[in-house]
Amino acid sequence: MLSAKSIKPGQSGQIEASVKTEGVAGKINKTITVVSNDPRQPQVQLTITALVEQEFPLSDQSLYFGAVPKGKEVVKELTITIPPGKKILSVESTDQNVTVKLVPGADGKDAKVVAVQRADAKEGYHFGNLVIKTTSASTPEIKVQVRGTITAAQAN
Amino acid sequence: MKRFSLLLSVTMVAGVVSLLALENAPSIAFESSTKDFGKITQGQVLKHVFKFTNKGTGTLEIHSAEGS
Repeated sequence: MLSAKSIKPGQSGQIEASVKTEGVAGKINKTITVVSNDPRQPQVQLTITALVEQEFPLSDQSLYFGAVPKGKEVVKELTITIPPGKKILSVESTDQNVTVKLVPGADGKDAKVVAVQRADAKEGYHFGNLVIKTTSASTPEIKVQVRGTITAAQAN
Repeated sequence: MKRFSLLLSVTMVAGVVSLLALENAPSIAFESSTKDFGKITQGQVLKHVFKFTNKGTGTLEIHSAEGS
């Protein structure tokens, strides 16, 4: 976002940048290209870098069910690591074609998130999020994108 | 010799014109063009303000600022 488009000599302006890190893990490197009428440098590159760490590390950042024929149930799972002293409260799916359940590990250090693309899912592309709620104040909610494509039923 | 001096004066005119153009030119100067947030926790929205000053003598026009 830009403060003003015309800046007189000696005056200042600012460019406000914002980067979302939901569903992102590892190194991020974002570039903003500023184009102006400065004859010496008509383009300036601004960069934002960060190392995104997860308080609850996930084995997968998103789940893709693939393209499967209608009438077939597909199960995908991921493992979530739970830091000491923290708990997972619930897990829900915003995608009606996907049901999800939590299977806690024996020692409370991890849990499996098992997502099922329903056999009665409608034809077409679908997507949504698995919303995992936790007791952590800094990460109260984790979103994992789920998506898949249901194709026409296979003829027998 | 005549041709040479003509060429020289043309070059000089061109030089003066480009100097004039630069004299009334804007100059964008960022305090810093990079920002490293270091280690952060997933889910946070990273916000940063890049400040710049027009250190030239002409009005600076920002045409666009787009992220990758």
